[in-house]
Amino acid sequence: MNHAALLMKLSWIPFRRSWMVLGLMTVSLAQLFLGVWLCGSLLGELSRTRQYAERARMITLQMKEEKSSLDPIREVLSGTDASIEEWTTEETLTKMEQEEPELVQTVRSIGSEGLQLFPRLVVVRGLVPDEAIEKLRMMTEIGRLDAGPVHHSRLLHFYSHLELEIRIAAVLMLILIFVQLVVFQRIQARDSSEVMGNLLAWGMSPLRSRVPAFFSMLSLSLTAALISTLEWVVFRKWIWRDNAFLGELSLDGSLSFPWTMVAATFVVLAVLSVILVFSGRTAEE
Amino acid sequence: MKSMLLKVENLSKSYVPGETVWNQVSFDLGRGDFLYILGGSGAGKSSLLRTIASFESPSGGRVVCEGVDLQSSGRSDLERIRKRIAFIPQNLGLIPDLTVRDHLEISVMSVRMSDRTDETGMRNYLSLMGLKDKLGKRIDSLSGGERQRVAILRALSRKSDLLIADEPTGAQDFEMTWKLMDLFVKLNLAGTGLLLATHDLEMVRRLRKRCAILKDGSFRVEDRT
Repeated sequence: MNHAALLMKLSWIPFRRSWMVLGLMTVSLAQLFLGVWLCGSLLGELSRTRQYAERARMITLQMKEEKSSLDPIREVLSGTDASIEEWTTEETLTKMEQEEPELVQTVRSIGSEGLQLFPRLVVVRGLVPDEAIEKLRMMTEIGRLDAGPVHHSRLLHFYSHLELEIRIAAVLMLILIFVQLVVFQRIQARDSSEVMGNLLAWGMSPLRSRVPAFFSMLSLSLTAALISTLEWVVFRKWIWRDNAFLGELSLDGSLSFPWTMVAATFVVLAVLSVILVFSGRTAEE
Repeated sequence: MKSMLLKVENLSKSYVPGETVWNQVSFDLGRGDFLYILGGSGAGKSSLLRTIASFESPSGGRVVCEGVDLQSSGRSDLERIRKRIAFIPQNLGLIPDLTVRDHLEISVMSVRMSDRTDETGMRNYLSLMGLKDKLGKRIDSLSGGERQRVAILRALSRKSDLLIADEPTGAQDFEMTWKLMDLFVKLNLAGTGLLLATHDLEMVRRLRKRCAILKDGSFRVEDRT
């Protein structure tokens, strides 16, 4: 057996001796990881949604011709995060019916000539840069262009508050993860001091003799991370299935795996493990 | 003239201020020397051996091993000296979850190939101690006597000039005790310095080696050769 394998074997001693407690601890740590990663993903999605809500505009285009193609408009808006919706005369009248019932009735009563007088509308919603709006304004097919912000002030307020709450929850979970690691270090202290004393007695350096305890902590974190990744994959769709009710302002239905958050968690865990395992000196040292 | 392995000067130990466990312990041990430390239960033999082997600090005095003062030496010197000493503690220092083979590997992990006992030597030790078929067994599945022999085997798995053993035959039957003592004497004749703690007066009488008596905190060396 090579040295690394032997050190790994030594690192598994606490798990063999206290498998029940450490098994439960691994599962609970996995839930905390999952919680932190969910918070990370939510923050990412919220930031994207908030940006949209802050900068989204609604542009109404009055087309000169009833039959003119929308392709030039689509070309100008290609590459932007905007949706194009065409309202035919009939659709426009239907949408106006509640606000302006008399006007709509008058138009209908004139017959087909009246309908021809009514403009054909194209509604653009989303993040449209000023240059694109200027290009649209210059197009000969468009008779009139009205652009204004989409007001989501209450939602924006709610989202910014939600962001704060998620951040607080993430910090609390990180504290709980730290507590779990400290408790684990206390549980494995007896076993690891036995191993360490043994290795020191046989001339190993204090640094190397602490490696099994460090591996133990990393094993705990890695196993917990595997469990939470599995839970993520299995339950992701179930968690997000009812989140599309806000339309464009909804959080994404297919949440992406938060790689940055996972990497950050591991860096923090490795640093904490190093501090917990390698700090202080024992009697043997 | 024998080269000096160990020099112990005015060593004293007290866990509680004013109460010394042993006091004014002084002796020399050269290459090929044999010294028994004889004392009753609770006389302080184990703490003396642990202090000499650098696992405890003395309250006073000093231990010089191969020219290195263990009390004032740096970490690297201490590691080097620990690699040179084969120590068999009374509690054996074995890890119950590991196999006999794991223990042998741990003991040679930090030493060079040239400082390890060769394969033939290890095979001889294994068959002498009756551990040939036990290499893959976990320590917690072995008997007390077998565990003690594993601790001895582990100490012998690397070439050391100094062997410190704390009651190494306490859990052995008569036959195995003398097999092991015979092995220790052979190692001693080959040049290994031996420091053995025991409370077995009969063994000391039979082997007729230099003997130190630890009693009521005082230490006195007698030559019975």
